[in-house]
Amino acid sequence: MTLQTQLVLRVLLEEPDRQRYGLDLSHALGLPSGTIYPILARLETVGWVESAWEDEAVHQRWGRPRRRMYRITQDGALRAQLALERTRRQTRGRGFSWPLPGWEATGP
Amino acid sequence: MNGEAGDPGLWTSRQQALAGRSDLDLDTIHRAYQTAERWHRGQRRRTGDVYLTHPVEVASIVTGLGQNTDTICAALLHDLVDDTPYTRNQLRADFGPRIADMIDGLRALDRPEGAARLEELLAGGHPSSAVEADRQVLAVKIADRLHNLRTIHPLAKARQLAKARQTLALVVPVAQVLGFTAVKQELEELSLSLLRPAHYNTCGGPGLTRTVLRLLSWPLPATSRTRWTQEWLGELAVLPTKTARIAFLTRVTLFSLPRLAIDQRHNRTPRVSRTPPPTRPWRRAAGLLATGIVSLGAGISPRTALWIGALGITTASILLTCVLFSRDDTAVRRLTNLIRAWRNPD
Repeated sequence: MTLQTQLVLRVLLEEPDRQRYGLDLSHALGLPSGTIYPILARLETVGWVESAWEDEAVHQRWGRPRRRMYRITQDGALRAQLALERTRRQTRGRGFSWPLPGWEATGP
Repeated sequence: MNGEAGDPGLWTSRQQALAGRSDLDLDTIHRAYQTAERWHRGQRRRTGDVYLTHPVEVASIVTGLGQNTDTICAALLHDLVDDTPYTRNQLRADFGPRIADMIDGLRALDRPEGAARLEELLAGGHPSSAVEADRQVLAVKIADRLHNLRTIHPLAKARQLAKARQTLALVVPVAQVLGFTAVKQELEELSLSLLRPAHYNTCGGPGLTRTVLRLLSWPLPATSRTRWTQEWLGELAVLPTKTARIAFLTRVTLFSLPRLAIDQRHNRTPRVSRTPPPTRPWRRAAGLLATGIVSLGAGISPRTALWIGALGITTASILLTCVLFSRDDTAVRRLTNLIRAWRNPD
């Protein structure tokens, strides 16, 4: 699992019920917008994340094209937590720590 | 009130377009024009225009699509039976069974089962599945819708949106199947501009952005192209500045598109669920480097970021020079000669 994927999963796990769109995730993570879509597409293929078009009323009220909203699935949330935990255990065991702020603190 | 309706200018202005086509029977077309003119006389469109302008415009769009005399006549006569006292039998007597059948076919398309007929045609998905007679009827229908969309502004907003949605769902795909590309494009742009006015009015050349995105998304499999184009147009629309939009478009093209294309074309299973292999020293170094890049994005320290960037560029250029020079040493020799000459000018 790449670092970026882990970051995306973490953000999605923070608020599992919130629907997010690609650009929103990219802003929240500080990841370049180009990286986020392939990750989301992959996560969607394995069923960890589900996506749907935004409600028609919303985008029509604002008069803009509809957006694609992403949310972590129940199964995905469970498996993502396990996978993240496993990755962290393995890397930590070898004395490798993530130098990102809040990385350890917000762990499950 | 009949003055403008009988305006011969409307006919003469179109005559030139018809004159170039030697295959057309101008007499019949003129007769159809006169009939339409006589029966629509005094009627007006919601826009306030003389009603006759509508059949004439539809006929000229149909002419532009390369249709024959019958189809052009049908276009001129298409609203007579529904909107005037002129009857089907009169039409059959005046213009013969072929044109009368086409008008019947057109009226059938407006009934609920007409939509089903169109869907059936689309399911066939191939131009050959439309028999020639259907093709002609559909050409008139498409031209009719195009002119109606061009002059849709007097309708209530809700009806405009309904028409636009129906056009996108049915008429645009039919135009595509029949190969009327230019008309299809215009129908699509008109409908989308009705459905998404703000985007179309504020983003500056959205038609262009759409076209660019559509072209760029070409490496993706056909099934997912629209989805990603739409998704990115949605994101683009909310970006505040032009710079941000260009940056977004560049990133998406350079990084997202190739990866999505590779993943989806080769049906590659994502590796998210696999356990990572044990960390080896070089992997650890790569991990650190990746973390460095990510922390760049997280905006930890612009100064550090600058240093990392500078270091990266220097290393890359040194490596590049090494690779270039190892292939052919002429460049190196020339460079040493240059340095020597510079040191000892004599």
